Amino acid sequence: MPQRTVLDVLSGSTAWKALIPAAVGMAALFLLLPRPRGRAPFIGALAGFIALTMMGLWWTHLGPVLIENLLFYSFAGGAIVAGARMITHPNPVRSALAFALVVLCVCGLFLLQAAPFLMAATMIVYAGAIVVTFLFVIMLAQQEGLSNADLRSHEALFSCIAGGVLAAALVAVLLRSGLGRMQQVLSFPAESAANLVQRTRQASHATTVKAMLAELGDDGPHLFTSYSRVGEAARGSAPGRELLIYLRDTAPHWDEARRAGNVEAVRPILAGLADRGERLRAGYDADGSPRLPAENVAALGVSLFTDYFLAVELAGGMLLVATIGAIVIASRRGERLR
Amino acid sequence: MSALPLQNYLVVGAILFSLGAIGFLARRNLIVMFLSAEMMLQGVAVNLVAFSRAHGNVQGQSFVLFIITIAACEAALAMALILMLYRTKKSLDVTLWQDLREHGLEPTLDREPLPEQPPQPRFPVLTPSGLEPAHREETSNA
Repeated sequence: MPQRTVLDVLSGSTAWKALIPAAVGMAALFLLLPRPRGRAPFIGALAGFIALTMMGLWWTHLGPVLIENLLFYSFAGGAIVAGARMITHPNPVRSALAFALVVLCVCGLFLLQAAPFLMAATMIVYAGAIVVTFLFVIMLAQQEGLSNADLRSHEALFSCIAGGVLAAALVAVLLRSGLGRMQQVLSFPAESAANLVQRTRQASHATTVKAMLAELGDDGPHLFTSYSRVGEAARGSAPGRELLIYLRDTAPHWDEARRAGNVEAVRPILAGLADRGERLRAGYDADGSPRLPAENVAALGVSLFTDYFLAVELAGGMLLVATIGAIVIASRRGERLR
Repeated sequence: MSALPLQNYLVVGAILFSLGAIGFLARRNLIVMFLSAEMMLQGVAVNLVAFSRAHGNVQGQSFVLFIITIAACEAALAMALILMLYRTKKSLDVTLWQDLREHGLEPTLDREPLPEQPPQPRFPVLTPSGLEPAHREETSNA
């Protein structure tokens, strides 16, 4: 296979689609960053909105006009505009409030992705605690308003170039990665799975092994292969893993029961497969995208306290250490730093 | 929702991360630098939650819970350190700590003068009526 060079990568149209909005956004941020001379807020804002429109058209996949997509674009646009305001506004109090707005918009995005507990936790911890704490620090430390340092920025040009290159590189990789192909990997073959499960269920009601296999049709000799394909497609979820474990455990019994023609041994296997297949199928929409459990808190709790229990304990220890450290550091009085 | 909107959310995460990087590199106020770092964490959280939705499990959401925990620890320690730094130099400017950089770099000097600030409005001063009560001197522990 011939090696791809940088020129090959750059000559594709996805590279330009990634580069141009990033460059315009970079120029907008450069014009907006606080500087003693040469700061052009209005032109910068205009360039920023042009860049944002280009990003919305070229970088995102425009779907049908559903309320989901409208909400997505509102929250995403709000987060990006508030983020840009946060890094470019000279007044640090306004920056902190803009960051609170970023957090609120990101929480909206969390809610759209079926994460209501994270939405609430992020709002409480970030916008409610972290931003308020830092507003206290600003009000304590900078009571006279803007300082000399706030009206200047460090290497505005190079930092904008660095950020623009980072964004363009990330988005270029995303556009080239073929996330449309990933849909085939991530989505569940819902229709064929439903078909298979239905036929297995009907076959389990038949009276002889021959009738059962006839009912299953083409899948008869390859029943376990078909089910393992279905299970692999859903490997990330608990019902999928359950199906795979069941397949592994009953594979020898299935072979000998089928060869012996033993109806009483084959029927419970078919019934078990159909049960687990139905449970698996219930976790997916008709178009194959997974449904997250409605009891989000319960699912998170199970995941945290069974899969990630050690990490939870370590996080608790880390919080304790951080609390003690913060108290010790902040309460030292009169110690002169060298 | 199919996996195609996954790309949208990953793009939003990438943009938030880049904005945070630019803010961290460009601004001189310690608080704004820290908030830019937090915005980078928000971008990562958006990515994780989008992947969690696409795969249909809550592993990404568990990870985001840990990110929130670590961000809270980081905020507490950062505030303590910033307060300590403020106590010595009485300013939140990070360029006052230039000596901590590596040797051989050009020092950051503020060469360009700031534009003339508009004069602060002069508010009228009222003559106090009555006697001012005696009050102790304020002792500031900042």
